[in-house]
Amino acid sequence: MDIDIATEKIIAARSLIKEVLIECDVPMVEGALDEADLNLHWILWNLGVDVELHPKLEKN
Amino acid sequence: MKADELKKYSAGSKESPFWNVIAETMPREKLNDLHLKRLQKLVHYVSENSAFYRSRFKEIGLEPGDIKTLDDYKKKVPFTDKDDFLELQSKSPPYGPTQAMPAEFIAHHAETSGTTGAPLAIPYSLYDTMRYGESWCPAFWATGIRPTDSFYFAFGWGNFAGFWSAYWGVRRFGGKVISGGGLNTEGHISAIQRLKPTVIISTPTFALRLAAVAKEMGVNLEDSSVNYTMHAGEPGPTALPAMKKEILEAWGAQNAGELLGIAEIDAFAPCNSIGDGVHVDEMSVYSWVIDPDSGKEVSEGEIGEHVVTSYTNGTQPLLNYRTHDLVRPRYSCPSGRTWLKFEGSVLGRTDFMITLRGTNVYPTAVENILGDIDGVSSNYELHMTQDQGNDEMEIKFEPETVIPETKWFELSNKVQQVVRDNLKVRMKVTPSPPSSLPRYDLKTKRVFDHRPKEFQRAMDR
Repeated sequence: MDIDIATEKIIAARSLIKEVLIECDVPMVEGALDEADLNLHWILWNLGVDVELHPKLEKN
Repeated sequence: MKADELKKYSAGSKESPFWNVIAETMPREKLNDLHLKRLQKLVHYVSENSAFYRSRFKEIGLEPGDIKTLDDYKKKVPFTDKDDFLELQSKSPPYGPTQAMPAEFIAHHAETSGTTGAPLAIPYSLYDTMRYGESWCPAFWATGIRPTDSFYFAFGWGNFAGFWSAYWGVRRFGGKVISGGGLNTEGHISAIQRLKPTVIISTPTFALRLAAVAKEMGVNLEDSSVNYTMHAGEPGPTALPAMKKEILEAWGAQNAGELLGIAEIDAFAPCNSIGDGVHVDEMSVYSWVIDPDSGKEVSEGEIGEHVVTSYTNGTQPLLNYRTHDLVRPRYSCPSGRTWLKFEGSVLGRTDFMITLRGTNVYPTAVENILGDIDGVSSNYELHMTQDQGNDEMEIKFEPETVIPETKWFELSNKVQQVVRDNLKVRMKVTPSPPSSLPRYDLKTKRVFDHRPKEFQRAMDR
């Protein structure tokens, strides 16, 4: 696995999730996407990327 | 695709020597660089969100921007202790000013075991539980366990954080969860025979208790489905090699792993693949080791007290938290992990150490000696007393059932001699009839402090 490429794609995936979350008014979808974003944030954290302590603390 | 063609994980992952090779073998320089950035963020975070830390920092005039190096963090951020949190929670339950996230984000409430007093309340966000669970995974992988394994949880399901974190860990790992909640010891053994798990998760002493009761029931666990055992909550196979041998023999298992955790912090220190210590999960915590008296950092290889900061408990952050665990830090390991290693896991407790005629004695050292003496069972107690200002320790032990009562006196003398040869101190040694000492399903109480109150400290995390 190329870490740089993986990191880039995970960051892109998070951006896509945020785009959907902005418009989201379905609790089921919002909850699942929130959890998906936690997982992606956690991967970045574990790859050594300098991210915020918690995804909710990130400035959009 | 047919279901029987599904693969649990890829061939590449299957061959990986680590659960997370990127994090577990990260160079020290990069780890330290990350720690500094993360600690700076954490100090900012608690200043903004925790009334407890805001007040503490104000008292000493600490501004978040003052932390420019790791050394700044160690020297400027004040130590915290379990007693601080217990006191605040008792005044304003359940969490008081230690809570740093809105209540609506608390997804799970757990507690410390509370075996020696009021339990500490621990709030977790959903993210905290995911991260806490993740900390078990490097230990599973290093022990040889894989996501295709099935895990039997040999404990009840109260509010104790340790058990819940094990559950979160197996969910995170991808294994099969089999709960033994609500069953007694005999019930666990029947369930293990019927459900055929490949891994047992329990305190190490309870694994031995299960094996002993199985024997009484005429069940041979050596032939069971269990290939691995995983332990936490007390000194286990890494700290006590004799105990590891006993567990492996009793269960016919390939390997026995261990994880060092502190309920209010994290399951933060997984064992490694060579079984000589536990490594601090440096993605989840920042650890350093101090001289418990001076508070100054000790050098690599010197025994000192572990001080830990958690990144993964955003709901009730713990910074520079004094664990009272005595450890020997190492920064390199033949296993290939770069994470800080505690050689032999926890060697003792700052509050357990007693001085016998000028010699410092830790109960773990006594336990290791007892485990190597033929005829001494794994059931024993250490009693601390004081006589005219001098600390004393008495060993009470159960001889193995095959030892006739006529030989107990001889065996006691042997125990006394071996302890004296190894630790250079003489202790009173008393045999107790087999099955006379109490058994525990959770943490086994080994050490009893009968000294005057002012000499006693909390005996449990």
